[in-house]
Amino acid sequence: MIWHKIRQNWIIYLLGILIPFVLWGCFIGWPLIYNIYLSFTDWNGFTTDFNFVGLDNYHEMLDDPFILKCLLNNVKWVIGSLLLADILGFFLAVTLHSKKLYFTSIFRVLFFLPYTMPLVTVGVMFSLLLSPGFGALDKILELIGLGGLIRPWLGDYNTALYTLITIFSWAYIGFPLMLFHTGINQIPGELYEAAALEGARPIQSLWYVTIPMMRSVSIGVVTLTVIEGIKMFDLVAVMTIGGPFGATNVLGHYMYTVSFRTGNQFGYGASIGVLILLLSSIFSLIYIRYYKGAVLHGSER
Amino acid sequence: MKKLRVKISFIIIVLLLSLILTTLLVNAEEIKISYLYRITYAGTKEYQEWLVDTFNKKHEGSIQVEPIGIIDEVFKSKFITILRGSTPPDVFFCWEGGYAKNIIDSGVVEPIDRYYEKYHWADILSSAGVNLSIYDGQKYFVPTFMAASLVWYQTDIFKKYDLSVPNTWEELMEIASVLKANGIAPFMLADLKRWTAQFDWSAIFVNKYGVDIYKDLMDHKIPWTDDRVVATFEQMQNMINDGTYIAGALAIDLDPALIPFSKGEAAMWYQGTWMISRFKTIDLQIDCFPYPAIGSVKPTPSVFAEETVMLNSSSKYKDEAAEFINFIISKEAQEKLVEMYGPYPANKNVDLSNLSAVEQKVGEIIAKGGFTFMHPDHALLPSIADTYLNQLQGVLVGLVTPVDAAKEIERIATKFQGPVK
Repeated sequence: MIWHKIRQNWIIYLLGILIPFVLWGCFIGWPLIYNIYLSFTDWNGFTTDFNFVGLDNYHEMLDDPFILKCLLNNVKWVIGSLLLADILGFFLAVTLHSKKLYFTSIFRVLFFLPYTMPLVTVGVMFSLLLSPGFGALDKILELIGLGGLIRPWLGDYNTALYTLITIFSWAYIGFPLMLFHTGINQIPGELYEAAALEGARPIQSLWYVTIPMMRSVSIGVVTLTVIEGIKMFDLVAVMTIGGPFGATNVLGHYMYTVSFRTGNQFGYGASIGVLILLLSSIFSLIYIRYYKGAVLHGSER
Repeated sequence: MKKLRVKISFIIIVLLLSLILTTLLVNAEEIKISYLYRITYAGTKEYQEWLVDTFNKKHEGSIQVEPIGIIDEVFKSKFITILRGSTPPDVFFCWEGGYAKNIIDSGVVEPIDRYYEKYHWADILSSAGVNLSIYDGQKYFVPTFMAASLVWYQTDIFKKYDLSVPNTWEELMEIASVLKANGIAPFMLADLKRWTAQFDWSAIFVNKYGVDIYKDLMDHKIPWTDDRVVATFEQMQNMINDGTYIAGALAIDLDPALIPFSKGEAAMWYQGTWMISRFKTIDLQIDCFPYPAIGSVKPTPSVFAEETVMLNSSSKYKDEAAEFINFIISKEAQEKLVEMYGPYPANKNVDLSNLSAVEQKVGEIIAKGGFTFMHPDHALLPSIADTYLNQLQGVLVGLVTPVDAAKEIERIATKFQGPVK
């Protein structure tokens, strides 16, 4: 029966399923499987022959103090991005949705523009802006009488990571902003009218109408932000290469370092890649599960 | 109508086939080799393009070189990917020292002793560079660009405060005191990307304890926990804390550091000769001197091969690739290198008399003797070098003590080099 249907609509199956599946397999599936395979070897990236070493790379990860340090940095990155990009993006979306504000579409474009820039470009730009002594930030702080705040932002162990997180959030905020804005636009106006009739103040409308109705969008935004934080690489590679003294090192950059810079430990680097994959997959599954729940919950209401 | 269409189609097919056949026949004898090079500073790409174009014109119909340029920032990652790809380069750039050993041990590099003999390369190349190419008794690369590390100083600042070139550490520290008293950092240091502080570290170590002790350390004949190593870490830590280095040294990268340097915020900078082309772009009045003696040990300036080229062991056209390498180090190509990029060529026969007085002075320092020493990131295996650079930065930031830094490097050195020999 199924075979008969496939034969009848073979072109649909070919174009709609097989070709995308083959493309996915070539560019995502096969590299993924091969990376998992490499994580069980001692490949150095150069030789054609390498040995199967079982779980040695994973044991090494458990003993590697840098892994925990990088993981903690990733966690800080995620929390920082959630606060500075997602929450701030949400409130910006609510503010720009206000009918009392003019030129909101221009503001939305301006906030979205940094998201269109490659992170490498953002990194190079901010490296210069933050350069001690001659960077624009130091000059601005001096001009506004906050010269006491001047410090080597990228060279100070205590500030380097948070500086990068702030820069990332600046570049990323446009994305959650646009998603929240789209979500808010889809909230039926009658709900706000009903709330107004009940005597709700704007803050109460926000709390009892906007935020609950934005549940599914919020879950999506948060999950995507978490995944971005877990796989962060570009900004660290361009601005600090993990320094000073590992203060800004994250899993993605550490994976690159062990694979390409410190003795070409591709097998070990692949195992770090598997860790990143696992963490991202966990959050993706959470997203899918809660998104379904949110959709069902919303449709019931 | 149908017959006409068939006739036209037939003619088009015949013409296409003739074109393909002609192209194949014309290029039947032509061999294509690929050349991978690193793009560093302004002038590199233009020079490499000239190199390839000139060689191709001279060898039209026989050998054609296809260049692949990769920028320095991403070279290490792309290099490995390309080297293991389906069409690896026949000739490629590589660093010397520990990094080269890593590549050589992987089996992708062809020993080129036979080409050294055929083309008499040892007679025309800097002996320092040639000696560096020897691993386990065989030569594996050809040096193309030599470098030295020196203290570059701004002559107008020295003149303003009536300072003269120091010959001893004590004299250098006196100069540092005068500069600090006048609000000028004695030394620029741009260690954001971790690789620059090691220059000063190795200069202090070599000039205090001798180049032989340094080489023993690099070869792990001396442990990293040796008192002399710890003392050098302590020295660097003191210099950062007492303002000998510019404030924010760990937050600034090499090229952006030219800005405060050009503004006179620092008077001296211990760096490689590749800085000459950078200084020229900002029109600084610069001279140089070797790192001074510290104690009774004779000072040794660092002279090494900054760039080399290797021959891929899997190349199908090794002889042709060697022919191209021969052109790279020819007097013609090396003179063009100096003209378009800057000194110092590996070919000893290149006339440097057109260079400035300072550049000629440096040329004499390089030409004087053989290879002296490489900085740790070249001398050590990459895994040990990375730990060393990380720990050094940790010491400078104040997060790890010199003793703990030394212990960690020793741990990694033992892991990858075995116990102390």
